[in-house]
Amino acid sequence: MLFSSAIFIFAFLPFVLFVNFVILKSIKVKNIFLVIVSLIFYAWGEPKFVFIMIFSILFNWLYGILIDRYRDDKKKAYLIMFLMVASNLAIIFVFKYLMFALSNINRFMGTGFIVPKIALPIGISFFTFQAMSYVIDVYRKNGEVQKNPLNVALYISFFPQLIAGPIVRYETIAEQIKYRKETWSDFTTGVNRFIVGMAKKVLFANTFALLADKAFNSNLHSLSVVMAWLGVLSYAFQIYYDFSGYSDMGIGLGKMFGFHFNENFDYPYISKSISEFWRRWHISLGTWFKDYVYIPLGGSRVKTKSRLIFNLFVVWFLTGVWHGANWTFIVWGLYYFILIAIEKLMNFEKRFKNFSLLKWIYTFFAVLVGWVLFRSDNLGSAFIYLKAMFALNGNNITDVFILSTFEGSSVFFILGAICAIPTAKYVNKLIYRYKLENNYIYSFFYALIFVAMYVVSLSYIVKGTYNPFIYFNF
Amino acid sequence: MKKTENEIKLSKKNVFITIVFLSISFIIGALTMTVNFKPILKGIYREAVPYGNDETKLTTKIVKAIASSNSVLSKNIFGLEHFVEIYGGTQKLLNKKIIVDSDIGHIIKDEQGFLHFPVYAYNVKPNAEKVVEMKKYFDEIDIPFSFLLAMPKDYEDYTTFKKGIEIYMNSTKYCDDFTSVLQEGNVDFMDMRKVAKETNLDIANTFFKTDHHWKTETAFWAFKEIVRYIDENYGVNLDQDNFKTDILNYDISVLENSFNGSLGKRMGKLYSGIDDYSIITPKYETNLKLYRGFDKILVNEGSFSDILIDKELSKPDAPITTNRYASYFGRDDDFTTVINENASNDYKILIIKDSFALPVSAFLSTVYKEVTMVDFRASRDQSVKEFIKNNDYDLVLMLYSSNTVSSDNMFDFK
Repeated sequence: MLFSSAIFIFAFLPFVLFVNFVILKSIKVKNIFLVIVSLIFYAWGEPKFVFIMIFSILFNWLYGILIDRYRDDKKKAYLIMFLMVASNLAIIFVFKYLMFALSNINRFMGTGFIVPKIALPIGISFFTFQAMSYVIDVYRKNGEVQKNPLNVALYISFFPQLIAGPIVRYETIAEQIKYRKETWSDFTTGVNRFIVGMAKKVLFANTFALLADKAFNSNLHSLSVVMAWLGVLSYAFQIYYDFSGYSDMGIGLGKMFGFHFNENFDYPYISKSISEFWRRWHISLGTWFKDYVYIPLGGSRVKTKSRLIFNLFVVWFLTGVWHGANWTFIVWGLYYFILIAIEKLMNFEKRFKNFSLLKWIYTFFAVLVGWVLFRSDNLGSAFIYLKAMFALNGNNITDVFILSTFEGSSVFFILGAICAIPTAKYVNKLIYRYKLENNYIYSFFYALIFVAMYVVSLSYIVKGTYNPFIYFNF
Repeated sequence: MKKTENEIKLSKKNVFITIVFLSISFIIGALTMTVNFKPILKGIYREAVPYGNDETKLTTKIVKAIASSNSVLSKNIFGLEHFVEIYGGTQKLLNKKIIVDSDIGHIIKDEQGFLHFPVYAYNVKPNAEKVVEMKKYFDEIDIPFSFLLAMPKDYEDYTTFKKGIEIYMNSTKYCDDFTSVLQEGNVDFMDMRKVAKETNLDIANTFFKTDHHWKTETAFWAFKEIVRYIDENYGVNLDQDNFKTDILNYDISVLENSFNGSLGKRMGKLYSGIDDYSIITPKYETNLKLYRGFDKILVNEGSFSDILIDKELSKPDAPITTNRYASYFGRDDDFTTVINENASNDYKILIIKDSFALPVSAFLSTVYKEVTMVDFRASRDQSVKEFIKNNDYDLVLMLYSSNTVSSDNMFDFK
């Protein structure tokens, strides 16, 4: 089920809110209820995949119990952790990478393995990473073990963060599962956050999606230079507003139910280095890899540069692979490995302190090139697209489709750019500096803008406009 | 992350926003589930079991039902028309002239305020060649045949589009390509673009702004021109004293601001505006019999107004999204036959048609003894050739709009 769908807004959410806040009183019963509705939420997309998630919940709950019991027995603990990682990765491998692996083995080794058609369970990478986080955090004593499998189920399957993150670390909400407090203040700010996320997704991301699709799905050999640049710029906005919008909705919904998730985005397009970009983009994935892969490998505090490069390589290779079973994602991950390794080796962030604008241009350009790799169907297409951006295909500068494709879209580019930088933060600061937060005119316009965003977003949803979610595939 | 003062304090504006948020979700949700429960259930059932009780597995039906639930619910949301208005209003505010529509691809608005289906680049010549083949068949069985091409909604010398959008409007090319093949194949045809020019038709008032069809007045004009064309080309005199082709002998009932057509209802009044709809009926006495289906089953008899005008669709107080254009005959059926008991001749005509022919055929029934319409979209299971063999027609016309000439299911003559 999508957050930005009529069935969620007009049926699922009111029902869940009503039962949770009006009928149920005990937090234990609420947890059971939230698990049930979360499974229904997940099953709405593809009912059979819910069993994979239930299976994942149960065996990770068991691993949690075992690791808690045998923590002090190093051998057994390592064996349990090994089995836990292996079994979680095995699930992801079968459903996400098996087809890719077999077809590449056939391709490069001339074998004739039959490649089965396996559908990808929605959000499998997200919930598997959360499940692994649970066992690792229990092992590290960053959260208590859950004797009751329903509590593990709630952590893994809670619908606000289930399908496309943020990847909530167990230590973040271990306590909230049992002792959270639902407050009216949290609820109202959660609603605001949800509306912001919905507007980002429905009004911005979906509009940019149409523009980006037009460019990326056209005949790339004849794609004009202007169309190619507008296409990748649209995709940069699309993926940002799509994913950060979903995160906002998830964080907002969590807050409505008394859960506090960590932030997932922090204006990534203002970054002045690739390293900074990744501290601001998909923060929950970055910190997951940092805490569970990079640091255990030794992180940056290693004796040799070659070891540092190896650690970076592992993390960025895995980041690429995590995003999908396609060479484009692997090359995309390795592309960031190269950029970040160079930045780290030359101490880029400190060395060029006084070249902010140039650093921003470099970073944004590098990110755009990365998005071409990420969005393209295959490496060949990515290469042709990149050539089109620089008129290396013998392509024209403009074409007849530009005007119709981008008709009426300039306002979205302007607003998209304004909202992608911390304008709201700055305005908020001014409001507090001049003590306008309780001013009636300010409050009126603030409320008006939020209500308008919500109602207009709903009109788009009810009208059934184009509504893809990029990160559902991961 | 540090909490801002705004988050910690319970602010009135946040409470207000929350109340609006909850009210919309709860009230509209509850009303939708109660008032529109039946259509939602029906819609989901239709999606899950499209062919009645077939042998599809129960689990497959459940998966289909779940998959369709969101779109069915969206189409049955309580207050849907208000959401459509807000959507259309937003597009108007953005000055959008090309709007992506999940069901029909795009909606295009020209600079004169008319809405259009896009006419994408398409090779219409194979369809025209099928018409040439049909002509050969009719030659073999010795029935005269003629193709009538209704003019497109975008006129070459009148309609203008915002720069860049014209690439989606290929009607002129469609019509030119199509008629060139007909000409080469020696098919008699009437290109209504030409006739419109010759008769100085008031182009600004030819089509509805919100619907893809021509207005009833234009259909009457087409009726008159078709009668003239048949008289001139087939040596008949259908309307001897020019009485039945004279608009003065008809009542025109105008339902003002009553029609938001096929395109307009997808965008709302704010964006599309609203059309008047006219019902033109004979002032003189008529006595008709209406038959439906391959086997010509009598369904009604009486005057023109009583049997050809659908009472529900032409009700003055019907919702504006009512498909008023279908007021003539009520719908596009496979075979529809009208017998004129007061006819002054015994001529029988068959019209292979799209929806543009509905009002035209109604008017033609006043000058023919028998008019039969056949719609290939609805007659797939029956043999039109056999139907023609069983009935002795004096003339077969094929009346299609310029949009239909690119259709992939309107030229299968069997």
